Amino acid sequence: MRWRGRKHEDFQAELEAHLQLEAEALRAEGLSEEDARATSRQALGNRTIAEERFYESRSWMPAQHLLRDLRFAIRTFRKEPKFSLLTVLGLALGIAVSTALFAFVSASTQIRGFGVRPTDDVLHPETYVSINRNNNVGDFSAPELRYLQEHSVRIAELTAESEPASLVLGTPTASAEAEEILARFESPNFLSVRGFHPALGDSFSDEETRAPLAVLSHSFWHRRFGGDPGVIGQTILLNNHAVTIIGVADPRFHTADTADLFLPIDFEPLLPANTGLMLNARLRPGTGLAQAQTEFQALTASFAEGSPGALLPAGPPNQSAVRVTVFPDDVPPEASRQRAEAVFAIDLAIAMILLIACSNLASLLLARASVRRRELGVRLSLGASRARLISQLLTESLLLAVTGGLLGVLLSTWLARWLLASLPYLDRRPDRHVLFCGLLLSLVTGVSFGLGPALAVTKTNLAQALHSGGTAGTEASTIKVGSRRNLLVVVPLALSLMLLIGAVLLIRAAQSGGLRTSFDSSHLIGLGFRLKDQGYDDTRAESFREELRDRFRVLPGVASVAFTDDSPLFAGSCQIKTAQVARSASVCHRVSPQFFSTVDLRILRGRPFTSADRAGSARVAIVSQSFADTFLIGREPLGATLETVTGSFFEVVGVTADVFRDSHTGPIPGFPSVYIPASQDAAYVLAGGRNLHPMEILVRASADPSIVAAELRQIIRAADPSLWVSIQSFDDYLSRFTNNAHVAIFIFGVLGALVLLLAAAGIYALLAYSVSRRTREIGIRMALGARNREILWLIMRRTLILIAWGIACGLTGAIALSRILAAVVFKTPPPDVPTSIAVALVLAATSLLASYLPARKALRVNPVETLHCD
Amino acid sequence: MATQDPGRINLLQGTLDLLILRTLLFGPQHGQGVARAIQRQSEDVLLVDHGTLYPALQRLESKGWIEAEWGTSANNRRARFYKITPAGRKQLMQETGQWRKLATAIGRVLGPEGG
Repeated sequence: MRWRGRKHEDFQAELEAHLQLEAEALRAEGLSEEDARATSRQALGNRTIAEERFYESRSWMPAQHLLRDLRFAIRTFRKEPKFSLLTVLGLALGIAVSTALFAFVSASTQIRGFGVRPTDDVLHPETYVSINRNNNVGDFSAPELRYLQEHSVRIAELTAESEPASLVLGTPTASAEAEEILARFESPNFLSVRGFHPALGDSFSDEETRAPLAVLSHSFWHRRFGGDPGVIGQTILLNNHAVTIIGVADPRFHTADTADLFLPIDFEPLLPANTGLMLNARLRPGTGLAQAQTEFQALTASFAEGSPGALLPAGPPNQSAVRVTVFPDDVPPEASRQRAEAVFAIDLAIAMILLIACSNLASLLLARASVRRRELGVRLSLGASRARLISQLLTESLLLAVTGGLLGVLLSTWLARWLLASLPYLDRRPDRHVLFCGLLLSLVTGVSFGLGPALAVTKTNLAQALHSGGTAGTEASTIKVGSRRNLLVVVPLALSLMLLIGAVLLIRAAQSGGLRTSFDSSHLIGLGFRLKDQGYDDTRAESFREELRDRFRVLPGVASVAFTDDSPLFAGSCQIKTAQVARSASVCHRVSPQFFSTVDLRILRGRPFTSADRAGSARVAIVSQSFADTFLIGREPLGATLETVTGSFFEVVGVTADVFRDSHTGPIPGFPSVYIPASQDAAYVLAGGRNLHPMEILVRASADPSIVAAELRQIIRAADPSLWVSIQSFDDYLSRFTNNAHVAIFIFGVLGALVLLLAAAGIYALLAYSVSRRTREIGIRMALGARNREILWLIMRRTLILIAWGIACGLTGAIALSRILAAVVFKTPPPDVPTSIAVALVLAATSLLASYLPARKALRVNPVETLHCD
Repeated sequence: MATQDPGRINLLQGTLDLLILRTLLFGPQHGQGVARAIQRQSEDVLLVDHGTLYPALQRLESKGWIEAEWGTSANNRRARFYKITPAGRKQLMQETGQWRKLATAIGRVLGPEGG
């Protein structure tokens, strides 16, 4: 329509024409020139109002108002950069952290969340179940799988997989370093049963259950091959067997799994002996769990009856005890409950952060609005409507919120990447929903928390607003800690204290690994090999190890070298018979004579092993203090006789210290350990010829362990570049226990700092507000001779009390939090006094600074000006 | 505001639109002409506040009931001429009917003159 584009000038011209026409008509009626003009003008009335009405009748008025409001808001914010920055940053951080956490939660809940395959039948969705027997999931054999597949009517599809098996991955050309990987053996339908497809290439076909083929997991494909599509058709070496890569699995498959690649279920060269299978099934639509369970029970029972024992290599010992239970999805109920709890806790944290961030924004806005009460009063009295003022204030809060929100979303993508990087199995693509959620949050924040202050401030009594520059400063002299405004300070302070103390505790627990050894673990390096898997026979492996030992020994940074069958911290258990105890559960190590000096494990009594303790000489053993205390009660340990399950006898020649001294949570029971010279046919006498752990090499470094480790690796690569080797200092070993703590540390630390910032902003706003309201009172007091110190005390007294309250509540909360942490998540020590005091001091200093800044303003009040002003 | 002549009546809210449309039924007219015509036809009983006339014209134009175009008046002055549109005619018919009904009803309630 044409009128939309009508210009103001056009309208003015029309009014002008009207005046002239009217004047002419009046002249024609006989009025004088002057009278005619005056009368015509009079008849038109207030021309400005007419023009204004025209102006407002145009449809794009709201848009223009918005533009004007925006321009005005930007101008105001430029005038108060500190306030604007504080608000935007506070909100940005709040939104960033909550959005990142939301992304984190949403990504973690997607783990194995694909229980149901898309189906047309909405009423009877297909259920994906896992089957276990005696609460043991990996307990089925291949023939049993086939029997179930053939005979079941309730299942649409049955699929089987093995527990992950550890293999050594090499490449034919040895271009990349060898690596230890985990593989699962899968039935051909392992992807399709849940509606997944290979992301690249193919999956196994039904005929290829024995073929040397591999499907890579999506994450492993990215990690090892950099997501190169050319990987299809390549040959890799798994435990020295050539295997061809035929595909890459769907990224959603087994996201929480550690398996790096998948192999056909009957690929025997690599399949470990006696591997039990885990069964998963997709039930036919409409089949209930109970029905399925009944059928599985009947089928496994009939299989056990009808099948010859030869088909059951790893059959359960007691067939009559077979029980099949079915539960939805393959997340054990316990795990899903824990996950739900964790998600709930994080959600709660998100809500709390957002709430604090929002209420802070509200209090900042309120504080600022009350400072502007006078300005608003003037505008109201000049005829601005309340609606226009509210929309102006809302525009300002929305502008702040959206700026903060955009910044927050930007920050959050970075934060989320950081968080998710700690969980390598998660899909890390940025989630549009999450970003949208962040922006929506900021908008809602802006409206809901800008509206309150806007309504409150514009509901002002004009006369009062103009008269006294705000209501008279009758701040309550009694301090009610429970009031809403005060809670805004106390709650974030307490929360922040709790979180920061929690973070410090977690960091310390992670640093120490929770466990403390009785020897120096930082300079002890362990080297593990998979020689047998990589084609070395026993003789070659032994001579290789000896060659390495001789080369290591001469390195300048190496103090000593020893052999052991496993890390001194962990080893397979064995049964030892003593005079007092028929079967002692203890830990057995086969060690070389240098073991005790290399580990630095003190011999408390008796003697260490010597080179004289070899095959053919008298069999000797060294026991740990805890072994002597537990199994040789009241006996002189030296000279006592030990008997193994194979009927060999040992004489105890020494007693050594326990490996672990204590943990952060207090003393821990030692591992009763027995050490036997590796040279005395120990493999045979301990286990009767069964497979034992291969030997590892221990190196005690006298120089920087990381440099020494690099030198060791170089020597090994020079000897055989295709070998897989793990070189790890014992500190790293120990830190494995608390490896996953760093996510929690990060969350606690960032949240703590953020909440502290918010608390500081809250204090700042609160004080700025009260100073602005009490300017008059301060002026009077100054005029009456109050000193700076007294004014400061007057202003800050209330804040000091609030800070004290916050710290008291926070310390109480921290004790509770540490109890929960220690019980549920990690081995954390209880909060000690120095930590708590340090964190509390940081908090107090920050909040004092936040309260001093606005309080200083009070000192600059000019009494004369204040009193003159009204 | 215009002078309060006891013989003249200020227009009721909403009736101005009706009168403008009715006036324009006789042909295109400019704002001043419309005001004069209303006054003349009501035999100087109805008083048109010239200041409210233009917002009303604006409103009608935005509703699409009238159209406007710059033209030349009888005495050779440039003026903005308004013309009723078909939609405006329809609206006028409707409102006239309603107005008549209302006037009759109110007349009945008030009873015979001087009663």
